[in-house]
Amino acid sequence: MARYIRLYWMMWIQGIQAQIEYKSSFIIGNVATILGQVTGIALVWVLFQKIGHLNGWSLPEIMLIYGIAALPYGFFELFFNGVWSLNRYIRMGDFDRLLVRPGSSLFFILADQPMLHGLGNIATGTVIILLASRQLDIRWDMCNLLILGFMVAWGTLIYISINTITACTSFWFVASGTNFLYLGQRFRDFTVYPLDIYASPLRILLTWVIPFAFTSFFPSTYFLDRDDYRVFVYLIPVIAVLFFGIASFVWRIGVNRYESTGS
Amino acid sequence: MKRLKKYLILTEQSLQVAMTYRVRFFTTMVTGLIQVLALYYIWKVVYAGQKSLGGYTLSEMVTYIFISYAVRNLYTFNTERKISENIRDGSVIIDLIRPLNYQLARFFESLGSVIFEGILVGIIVIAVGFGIFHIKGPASFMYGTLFAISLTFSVLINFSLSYAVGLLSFSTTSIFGFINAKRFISNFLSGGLIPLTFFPPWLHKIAFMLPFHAMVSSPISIYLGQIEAYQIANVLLEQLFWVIILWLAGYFMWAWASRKITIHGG
Repeated sequence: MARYIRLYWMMWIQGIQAQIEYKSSFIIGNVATILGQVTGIALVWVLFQKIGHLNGWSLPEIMLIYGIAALPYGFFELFFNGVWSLNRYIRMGDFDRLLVRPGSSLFFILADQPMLHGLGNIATGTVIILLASRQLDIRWDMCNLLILGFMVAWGTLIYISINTITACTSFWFVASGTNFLYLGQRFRDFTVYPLDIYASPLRILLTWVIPFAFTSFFPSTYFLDRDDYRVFVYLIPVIAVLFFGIASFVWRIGVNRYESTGS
Repeated sequence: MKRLKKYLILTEQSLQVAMTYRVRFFTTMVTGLIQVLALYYIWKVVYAGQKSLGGYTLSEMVTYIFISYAVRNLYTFNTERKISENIRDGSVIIDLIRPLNYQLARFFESLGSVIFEGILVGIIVIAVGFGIFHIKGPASFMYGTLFAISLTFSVLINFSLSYAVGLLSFSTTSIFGFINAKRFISNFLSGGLIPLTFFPPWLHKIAFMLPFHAMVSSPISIYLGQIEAYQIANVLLEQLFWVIILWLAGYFMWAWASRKITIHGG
């Protein structure tokens, strides 16, 4: 374990250094992610100029959900974004290189391509959370911060799991590119809003099948003192570990199926 | 006529390439349906207990999100990506020696994916809209026809913008940031996700000074018959104005960029 952490750290520094070389790329990449978050929350704000509440949720409450949703997403991009390059590895026949390395191939693919623009998501998310907390009277004392930290960490693991599973489709459909990954991510778009605005089949899907609700909505309910969702808050680590188990299993099947490109 | 034929071959080629990626087509379609569904649920909750918001009833709003999706779906993002890849890997020089106008050639090339992914997926999503969500048809036959014309202009506007963004690859390595930024801004300011009538006055004003509203908001307001017949000409002329301005901008950018090309080795 310690060996993996040290190794990961070295790979991460290397990946980041390669990106920092391109300063304008770093700046524009982050400006773009910030724009994405700001226009996203601006839509909600525009909507609230016409309505008082959304199914009982106030604007700052939705902002809190939106802001918390940005954190695990940002950390995933910043540290484990490599699954997005799996398709390229397979297509180009470079995946063999990862298989001969001493260690888990899933580990090496996850650490492959950290994206600095994840910082933009983390920063915007933090600002939105702070703006919301001021109106909601949420105090970020040591205890709350620690709980949020754990939730974000588990949330990041859920991102890793879902994205690994969707990326694994490349073992079967190389020509699909990163489309399945992209498709999976679209379910994330639902979970930046309160879960209870959706019909129950969709709620079940986002809770038990593609569990993005555990990365944003359920964590937020803890800070909003919504006791009716407390059991889901306790389930966050369980879901994260369970889905990571599934992801590792799917990964193993995929790797076993992998037959390098010819030539 | 013969010249047009040369360009149409590019469309045919890119259409054939697009058709080989069938899984991609499937995922694009599912992605589209999911996005529309998400908006549908949000609006349904928003309208709980409200008859009309921002000048739209719920059924008009549902029509709005479906048509808006179909319109935005015509904007393939391959245009920027292809141009920037050609520039990065140097294959742009092949296009330089071809007896074709670079800008026109890229336009006809992008039509391939517009036809396959754009129109086909659009038709399926709209069919779901009519079948399950009971969206409305165009206000009248005349409005439908004018909507089609307006749509053509909006495809041209989007192409011109994408082309300009793609050409930025000549001077930057961070093209993906620009592509994303363009997507976020245009989704927001075009009225693609929320009708512009919901905007507060100052933001509404800004949106109407920029070309983005002519991409989504204009064609949809014609479709829904929100614009009086005598004013439609104004809307179409404004779109045409943006087509010309942005096409010229792309033209000058290419003139400037192609001078910057340095061919290494050889």
